[in-house]
Amino acid sequence: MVFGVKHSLLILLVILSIVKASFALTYTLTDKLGRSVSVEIPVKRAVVVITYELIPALRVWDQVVGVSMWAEKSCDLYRAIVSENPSLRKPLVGAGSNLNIEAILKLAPDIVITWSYNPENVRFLEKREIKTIAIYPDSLTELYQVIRMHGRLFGKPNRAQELIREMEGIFDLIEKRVSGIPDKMKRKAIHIGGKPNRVSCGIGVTDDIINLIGGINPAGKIKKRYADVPIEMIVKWNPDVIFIWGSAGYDTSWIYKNSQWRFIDAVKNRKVFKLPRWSTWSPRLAPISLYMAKRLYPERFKDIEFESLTNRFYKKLFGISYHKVKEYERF
Amino acid sequence: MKDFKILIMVLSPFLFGFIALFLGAYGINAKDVIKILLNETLHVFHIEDTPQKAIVLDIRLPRIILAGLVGAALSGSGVTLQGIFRNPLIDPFILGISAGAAFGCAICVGFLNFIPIQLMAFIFSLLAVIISYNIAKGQGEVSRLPLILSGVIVSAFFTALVSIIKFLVDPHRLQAIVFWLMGSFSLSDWDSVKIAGVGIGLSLIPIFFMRWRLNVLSLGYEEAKALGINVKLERLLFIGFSTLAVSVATSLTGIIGWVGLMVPHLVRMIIGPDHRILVPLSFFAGASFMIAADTISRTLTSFDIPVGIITSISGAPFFIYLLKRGGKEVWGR
Amino acid sequence: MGKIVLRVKELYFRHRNNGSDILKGISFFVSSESITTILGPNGSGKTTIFKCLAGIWKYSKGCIEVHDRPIERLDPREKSRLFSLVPQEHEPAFPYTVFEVVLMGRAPFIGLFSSPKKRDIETANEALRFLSIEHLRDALYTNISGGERQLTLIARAIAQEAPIMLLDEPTSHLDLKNQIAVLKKIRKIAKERKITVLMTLHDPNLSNLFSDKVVVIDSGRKIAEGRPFDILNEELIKKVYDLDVRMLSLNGKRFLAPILDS
Repeated sequence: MVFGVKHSLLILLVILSIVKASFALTYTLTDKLGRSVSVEIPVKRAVVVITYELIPALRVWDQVVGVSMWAEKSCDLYRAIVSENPSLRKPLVGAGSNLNIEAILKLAPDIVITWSYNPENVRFLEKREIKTIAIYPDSLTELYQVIRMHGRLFGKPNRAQELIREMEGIFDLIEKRVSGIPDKMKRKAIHIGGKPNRVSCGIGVTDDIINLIGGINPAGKIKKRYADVPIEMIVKWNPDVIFIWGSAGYDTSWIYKNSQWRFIDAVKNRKVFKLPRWSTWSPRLAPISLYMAKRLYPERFKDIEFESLTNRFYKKLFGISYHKVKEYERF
Repeated sequence: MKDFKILIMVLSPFLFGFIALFLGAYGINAKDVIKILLNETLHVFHIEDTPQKAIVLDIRLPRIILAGLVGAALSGSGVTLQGIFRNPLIDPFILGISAGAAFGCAICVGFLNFIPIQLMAFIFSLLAVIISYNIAKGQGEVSRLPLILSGVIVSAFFTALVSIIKFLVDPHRLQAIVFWLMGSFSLSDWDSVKIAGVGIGLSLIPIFFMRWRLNVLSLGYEEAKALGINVKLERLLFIGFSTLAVSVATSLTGIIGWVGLMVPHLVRMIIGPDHRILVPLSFFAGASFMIAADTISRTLTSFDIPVGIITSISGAPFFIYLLKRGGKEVWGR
Repeated sequence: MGKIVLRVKELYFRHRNNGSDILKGISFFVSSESITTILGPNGSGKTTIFKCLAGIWKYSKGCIEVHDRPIERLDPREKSRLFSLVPQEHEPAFPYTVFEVVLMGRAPFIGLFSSPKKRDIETANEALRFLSIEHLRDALYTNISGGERQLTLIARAIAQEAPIMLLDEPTSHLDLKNQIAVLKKIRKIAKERKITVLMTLHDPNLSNLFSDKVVVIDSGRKIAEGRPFDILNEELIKKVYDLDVRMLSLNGKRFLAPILDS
């Protein structure tokens, strides 16, 4: 009889694949630009433009097909891992503000995760039927959401939760030590960016962290992400500590040498610090916060050994040591 | 009456500058400001080294002086170019000089850190104006509309080049470049004042002494030549000095548009086209305009608005008004 | 009429891009303190000759001598001490006053880094007085009449204190009254200031009335040279202007009247 075993197997396979297809999950979300995006998860060919530090964290190298060039150029974590394992290296697709659309098309991604700062890029990709998600976490809570979203997209929700737990571990440690500080004793800290008079204001992850580490952001009352202010204003605020963005083109010596800043407490007491050049939209926000907390209230964190704590964090999350990554830090 | 107008214009930058010393985000008592000033100049009233003193003498004063120098440079350069090209509708911004300077700065900051930035700015702004001039040139004569058009093209070209550099450069160096495209005095200090003083002084002083020549040059190539003028050489000298002034200014504070167009034009309408008076008054009027605009930019809100925005907001409508009014003063013909 | 102050020998000129010669070997001479008119139809090359004399354009062949010395090697400033050029009146770029315009004539005497001095100002004032236009001193050049503008430009040339004054079509754009007024002033200049005048005119009758000598040009060539009385006649006009005229005498003066076909 021709209708035998072979054909039954074939029919079974067909039925199974139909069943499997109907069980494939779809994840629908609303991104930062208010767009509704539906994606089949887990994604297999993602292009990650901004949040590439989540790739080693979620361990999804084989689900990513492209990253932005800043991963190669300025992310010590990415470069360290990829130098140890060259096979993990991913093709580059330009930068967040200047995506190389052809490079993206060539990779035939099933999702592109970029930032919302250049909405025209997002719309451009949309028109070419490439699913795109735009992010811009403006608070710690939003950052958690973004991490969880990545977890779901890549089919690693538990791992994402674990990342958040590790981050909260460090945050809790900090909060415990600064929770007792009464408001009038809190120290003022500002975070300055690409220009020395560009301060981070009330909206954004930076402001949340300053508050979390028990500080007060004098620019926090300005309800924007950042603002250019006259130097006089900074003198008026008189912060106790000044943090400089890790990728700024100037460093602490510029501030110390500049006579216009000399009356600010932070300058008088030599409490101007340049942050490490790490992305704040990543689990590494937690050690950055610790870094800042140790400098804002050194007396409360004297016993905390930053390097060893961070090293444990790195090993657990990224599978690589702190010192190994530091070798790849570029200035 | 005329002398009175002249007196007002000459005094205005000093008046505005003086008033500006009292204004600012920090909020200093007028009495304290006066004490600080008297202490500094006449050494009366013993004053301690306080933040107020630092603000008045290290933040406000250099910023005001720099604004004055840059305003004089832009306006002086504008009046010179208008005279040479016999066209009241041009300024260094329109001719692409500012864009060329910005490109020079961008290349320097992006790749060639070791070369002094003023030099790069000067080289490329000179290149920009020479290209604009050559595109528009006829038989020794330069017609008006083609000159504006070629200036627009050259400006767009160099701006595009700056974009390319932005694309190729490290993110932290990138920030510095982006800031040039929108002029601001927010980071003015005494070092900038020194550089500006030398660079702008070296360019405006020769222009001042040569100012009567602009009358003759504004007659056009043939008539000026018949009056014994080495037109090509003198035009080059004027262009060289005014480009130097603008490139130094741009390298310190970024691109600031419209000042070179508006101020000379206003002064010419008030005082007439004789460059013997027009040129020095353009310096003073440019200085006071810039000081006023900068003071507004840092006191209007709690932010430090880029001064280029203030000058553009007042500049663009003024330009439209000029064009609509037409007439002999605008087109000359 | 004195000695020869200006000699033009075999002057050729062509534009850099075009092939053909605009001036084809022009030769003539001008005596000092006289008025010489260059006469010719449009496009004959009159303005080209002036531009070569004043050094604005470079001639391709030939020689120009002033007081028997060639002027090729002179720089623009030296040339401007010999020749002053009065262009046709025109719209300027900026609304200068009449005085400021006349003052510009002093350019050959003022250094690059200097401004006009007392002497320059006095010379300019004096030029205005000579032409009786000192009442226009502070008027805007853009606001006065065509005739007044032409006089302003002539005053500028006077202020330049050059021995040879070139006037390019000083009477075009002017009405008859102003034409005569300007030409009378030019005659006064030649006589009283001992300046050699070389001007171009359209009108043969006006040349007749106001010149000591006429040089007739057509298509880049000299057709005739001499006293108007001697050379301006019906054949010449027919040859150069292709026009039939009749010569008439009135009060000892000759006039050429066009004959119209009826």
